[in-house]
Amino acid sequence: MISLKHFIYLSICILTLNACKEKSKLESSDKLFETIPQAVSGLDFVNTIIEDEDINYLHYGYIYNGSGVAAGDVNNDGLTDLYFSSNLEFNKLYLNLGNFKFKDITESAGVNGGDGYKSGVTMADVNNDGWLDIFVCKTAIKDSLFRKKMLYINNQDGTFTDKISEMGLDDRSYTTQAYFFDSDQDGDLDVYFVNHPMNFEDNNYIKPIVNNQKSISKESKFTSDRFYVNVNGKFMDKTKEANILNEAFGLSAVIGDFNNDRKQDVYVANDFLQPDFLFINQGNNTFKESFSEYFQHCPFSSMGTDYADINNDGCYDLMIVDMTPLDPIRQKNLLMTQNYDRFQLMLESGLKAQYSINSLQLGSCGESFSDLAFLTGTAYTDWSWSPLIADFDNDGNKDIFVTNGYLHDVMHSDYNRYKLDSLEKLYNAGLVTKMQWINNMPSVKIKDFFFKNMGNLKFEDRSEEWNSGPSSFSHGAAYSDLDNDGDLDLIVCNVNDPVTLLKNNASGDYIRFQFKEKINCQHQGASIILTLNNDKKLFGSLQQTRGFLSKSEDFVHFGIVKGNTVQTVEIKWPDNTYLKIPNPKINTVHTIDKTKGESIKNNPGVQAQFSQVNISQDFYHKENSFIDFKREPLLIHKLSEEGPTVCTGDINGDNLTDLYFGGAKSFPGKLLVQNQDGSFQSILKNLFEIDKTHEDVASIFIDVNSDKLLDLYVVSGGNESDASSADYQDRIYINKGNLNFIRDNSILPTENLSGSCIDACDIDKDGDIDLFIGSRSVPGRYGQAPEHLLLINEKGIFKNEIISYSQELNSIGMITAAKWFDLDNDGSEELILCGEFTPVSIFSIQQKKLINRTKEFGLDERYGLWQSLLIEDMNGDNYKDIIVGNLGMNSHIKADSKNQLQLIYSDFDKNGSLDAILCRSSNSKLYPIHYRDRVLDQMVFLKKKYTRFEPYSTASIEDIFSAENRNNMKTLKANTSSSVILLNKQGKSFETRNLPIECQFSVLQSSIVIDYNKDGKKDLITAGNFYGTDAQFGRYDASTGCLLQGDGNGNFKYLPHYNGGIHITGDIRELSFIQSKKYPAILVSRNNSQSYLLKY
Amino acid sequence: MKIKSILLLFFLSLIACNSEKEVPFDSKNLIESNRALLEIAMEDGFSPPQASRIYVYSHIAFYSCLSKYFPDSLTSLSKAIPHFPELPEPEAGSDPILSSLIAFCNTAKSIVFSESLADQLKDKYITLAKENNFTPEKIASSITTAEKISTRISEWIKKDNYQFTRTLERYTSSKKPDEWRETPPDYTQGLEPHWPKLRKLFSDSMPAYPFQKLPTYSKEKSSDFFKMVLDVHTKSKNLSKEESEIALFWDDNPNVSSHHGHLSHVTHKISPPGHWLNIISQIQKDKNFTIFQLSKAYTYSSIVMYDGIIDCWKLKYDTKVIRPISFIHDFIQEDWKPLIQTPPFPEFTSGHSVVSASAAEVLSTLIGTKVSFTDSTEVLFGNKPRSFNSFHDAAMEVSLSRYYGGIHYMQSVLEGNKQGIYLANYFLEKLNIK
Repeated sequence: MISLKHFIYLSICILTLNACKEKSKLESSDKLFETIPQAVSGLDFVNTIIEDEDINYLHYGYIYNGSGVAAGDVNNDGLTDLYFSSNLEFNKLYLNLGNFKFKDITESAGVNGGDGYKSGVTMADVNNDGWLDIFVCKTAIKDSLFRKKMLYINNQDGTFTDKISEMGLDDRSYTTQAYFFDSDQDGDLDVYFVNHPMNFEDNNYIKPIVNNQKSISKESKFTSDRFYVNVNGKFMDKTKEANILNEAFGLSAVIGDFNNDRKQDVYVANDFLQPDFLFINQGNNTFKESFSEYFQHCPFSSMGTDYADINNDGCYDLMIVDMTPLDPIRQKNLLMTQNYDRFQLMLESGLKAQYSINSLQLGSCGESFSDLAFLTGTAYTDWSWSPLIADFDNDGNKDIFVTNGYLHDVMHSDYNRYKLDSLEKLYNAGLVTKMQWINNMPSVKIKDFFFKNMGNLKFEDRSEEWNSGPSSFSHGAAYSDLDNDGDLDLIVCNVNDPVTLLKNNASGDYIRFQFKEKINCQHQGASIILTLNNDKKLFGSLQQTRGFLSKSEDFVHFGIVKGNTVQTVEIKWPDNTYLKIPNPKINTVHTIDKTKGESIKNNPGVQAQFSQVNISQDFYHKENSFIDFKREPLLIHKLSEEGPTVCTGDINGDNLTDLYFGGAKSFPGKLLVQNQDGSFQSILKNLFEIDKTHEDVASIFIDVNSDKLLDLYVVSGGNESDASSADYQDRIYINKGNLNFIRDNSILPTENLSGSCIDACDIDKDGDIDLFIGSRSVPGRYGQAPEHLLLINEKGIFKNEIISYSQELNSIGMITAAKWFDLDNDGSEELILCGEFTPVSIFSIQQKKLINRTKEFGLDERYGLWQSLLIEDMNGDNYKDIIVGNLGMNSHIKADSKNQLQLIYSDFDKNGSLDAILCRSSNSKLYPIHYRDRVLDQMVFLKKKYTRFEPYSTASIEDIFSAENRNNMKTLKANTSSSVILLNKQGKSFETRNLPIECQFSVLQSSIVIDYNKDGKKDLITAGNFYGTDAQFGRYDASTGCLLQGDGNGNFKYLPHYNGGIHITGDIRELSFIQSKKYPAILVSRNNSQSYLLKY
Repeated sequence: MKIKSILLLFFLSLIACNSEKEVPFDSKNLIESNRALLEIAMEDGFSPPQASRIYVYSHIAFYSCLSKYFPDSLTSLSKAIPHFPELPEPEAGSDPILSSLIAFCNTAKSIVFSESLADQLKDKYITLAKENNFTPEKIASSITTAEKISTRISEWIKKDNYQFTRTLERYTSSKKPDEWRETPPDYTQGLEPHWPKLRKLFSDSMPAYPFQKLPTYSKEKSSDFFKMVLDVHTKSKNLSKEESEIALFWDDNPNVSSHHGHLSHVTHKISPPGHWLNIISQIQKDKNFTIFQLSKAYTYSSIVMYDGIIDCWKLKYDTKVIRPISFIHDFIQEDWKPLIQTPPFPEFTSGHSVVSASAAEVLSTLIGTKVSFTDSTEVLFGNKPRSFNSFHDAAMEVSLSRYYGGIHYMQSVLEGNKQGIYLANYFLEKLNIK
């Protein structure tokens, strides 16, 4: 019987039959990709992994890594053919017959790959005869005979002959993938092998790995990466001479130019403890490992890689994938809680900061890279293998495809912490087999990812809408226009499932390029620049061996938005040959003839406007080693790494900037007096040595006793000492003239608040200086609102009168910055405050009271993780605007109106310590962000409730805590983490505008106003990072500073450093203007590091 | 759960119970309860200090409940434990052993994580009582007795500072070259640095063990310290087959990790104090102890092992001695691996040595100094059974096993052994047993 509902539905459909039909048609063609079944394509290849008692995961830890595919036209018929590697069976070569039909010609071609465990495959014209040859890598098997690689030279007649020994490449190393490239630009192909050791048991020993850098073990012959130089058609082993010996578990590499010298460098993605390597090509086939000069961190388990320009700025960007699932439930089941001690030891041992997070490293043409994985939403794609960056929807912006999956969830915590233990005991008792161990491991097929590039560094997950293929364990993948219809199709290798073949039905226009000598090595690394009719530029390059174990097509593909045409195309080769073609036709494959090009000089680029000036060791800030997470395991970042504070003033009346440079706990601050020659001299060392037990977090030069001499107030803070400690007492140093200061304890109240900021104002209008000092947190009790200080100056004695001025102010929350400025031009200052989980708040002085006017100004809805304030009239309307630094949008815990963060706190277990849990809401329920072990460490009573990971992974706060437990629970929230400018509307309200996306890359710690181009319009410089995060979710290190050119109306344009902008890296805390005799400069102060000047 | 029950059956089959006469409740149930407790502790992955706490309070509950019925057979623990609480009298008509078994289960439940496993055991005993035609009144009064006694004991347990120590800062190593630091492969933070803050049972008034200091840290090859470490390294390269077997047999690490690529898994083994409780169970088959003898053996040895670990932990965190692996990696061999995994706490003295020697001293006094026995505890972890001529021989073998295993220096294991005996004797004297 048809239900009423169905009946109505049917009727509507019948009535509007045409519309219904139309809609369903739309829906199917909505999917950008169409899966071509194996029965249609004839691609009957399956990479079958069947484990047994001898060959299994416990024997070879890379047995689930899968296989690859190489796409290339082996018979020069204009159609891209496909070659697949099979780990345990024979490889297969399929000839492309056109129209998505393929023919298996493995047998007749003689290219089955032979015995052994086959891993990566690639194609290159190794012998330079204009025909693609096939290269097969091998690994895993102990007997070296089975690791002899295959170099199938193309006989130009549909057959191939293995000439690996003749060409000098009988290398028996354990190879993941081979990368052919012309290292020395001599016109032939050299080769880099990415290899790995076989010791999968001790891959977590930190010390030996570090030491091994000095003395690589004897086994390195087979385990270190190898480098062979092609000398007249024969390959010579130059591994040692090239300086690339290592003991890392390499899984892929990128060949490309990283330092903008056009020479091809090698980036190697390494699994486990070893950080990735960046081998910068020094010429003469030698390399220099330079990872740290260009990168701030890398994935912990780096797998596949790709290198392409995601924002069409002409600078290449690098993606490296790791293994964290996007789904928070899977995340909580699969991920280990990170151990901070181990993380710290890794840093100290030179193993770099590494996180189990994908990296999407935005390049800056030769300077350092910024990881934008969180900003772009590409941080988590589960256990991932091939990232492929290409324009799949032909809109001119390169999208991202990621394959993923692992035959068994070896990281499933319930399995490896509990079930495996029982199984092992049963195994010892002879009751189960080793295969039963393995078969008990969870095994979940997952979906590959598509991210559509929306422009301006925005990506959207389109896996569903574009059809990323059936769920599978997918590994190697390649893109190629298989049917020559002008869009990129995808070929994906799966374990124990047929190849996924995705036909692209993109509708946009395109333009494609190949090279006359077709595949000749000289074109590797050539970059192509299109200028469209709307002056927009698109950038592409020729790099074929990319992703994981695989090679993509030998073309450079560009999508063009319908209606656009191409003005010019420019090609730049690594050897500095340059070719310009005007008005190329679109929807065409162009063949480029390099011989028509001319030799040019490398463009020197724009002259830098700011230059770095090194300053003395006195400006070195040393952070004390304190791990806040040992006391508060659920803290997401440290509260003990806030310094250095810097304040400036002229303390001796010589019109030169002097300054106080704060010290961390156990390190004295420094009073630095500027000499006539611009250098600084540290004075009164003994005075500050005595006070080094305090952590300096804020400071100000002010005349507290109206004697016309600047005195120094230093705010103590941090999180190291107990909440009642005298270490939190602030200090005043009275300027006695002649560079003599004396600490005066008598004029300050005794207090133990962990401060964060200070600003001065004559609050009670009695002609002297009063002070507001904001507090960061209650030590050991993050979440709880600390009290603050409102110090009223009565004849030189300060009294805290905050309670009489405003109870509300005293309980406003965890404050990070505060300033006094007159916002409504009524002659009386407002107190502007910001903090974590607070709105930007404004209080006005009214008859010895401070009145909260936040709501009146319309600022009460936006709760941020605010960090800094700058008050300045940016649009020339005589009203002060506010620039507010926030956490940024490049964090695991970023917040916006749709993704609110909540911090709940209470003493849930009634043991006296505060339990503050950071949560995200989903379907109107709150879920903790932290993983099980961390939460159970903080609240032991939950160990009884969550003896396993699965129940915790789905538990909401309501599930975890009983209603009674939640009785006294308090909640803080954050609904924005963007840094903003608040434009003052006539002193009545504020218009909130996000600062440019480049300012959202990291924590905005400091900003200053400057008119760098002297156009009379105020510009901004913003900076900041923060390294004190826990070991789990990644530190904030992506900012390289922003120079924002202002238009005088409150709008700002970001200036990249290669266009005259600034480039300042590190854990920046403060920017300060310094006036010296020679030049104006900006002091860039960094935590636990040397500071320096930027002169301009 | 299916795997769990297969395992438990297998464990129990190892402990041959020779009681054919079907008395519903007797020694075999206490052995069974003890085994279940070891299983739960393993299941929950309790570290040796935490495991010792779970064993001791559960056994104290059984012992002191039973002693309420038979004060002449079981001396009150208050003679040795000054803060031991006054316990309520048993209900009329209650069954002594059933009450004591339930008190054991109740107490265990309050301090383990996997509460359901303790409940299962308790339910099993109640079912057994019903099957043996215990009247509902008898069962009810036994449950009430157990409830009252275990409640009082739980209140007493709550005052042992354990909860307080959970709120204290986790351990941060100084990173100084001469002090203990986190060790491979997992670099786990120092375990239970605040354990010495726990309330001791009997040894508060005991004069501290006058230990012999280790040589001063030095990286000079000629120094005694260097020689002491080098000795561990040299020995590790020259182990006989039996010495290797000994090291593995006494590994007793409740959380051994192993790594195969990205698979890092944890093997839960019986902790050192648990191993000794299991030895007592195995001796039962030759000795056929009365329930009183058996409860004394379990309870007294758990008590000395509990205080022994507190004492030892104090020394460990006071002296912060570096583990052999750290020093060897720094100065002798950069890729050296000890035969057994280094546990995550400072080296001096050897905890297993203290535990084993103290238990051996108690058992020698209670059962005899020349009692030979065969220990099959380790079969499930893939090790062959081992036989011993006396408890002290076994304890000395434990000490050597830590040195063979490459996780302790010779002097530390010998000192640990002496420390354990010293402590046990103080206890035995308090109870007037020695």
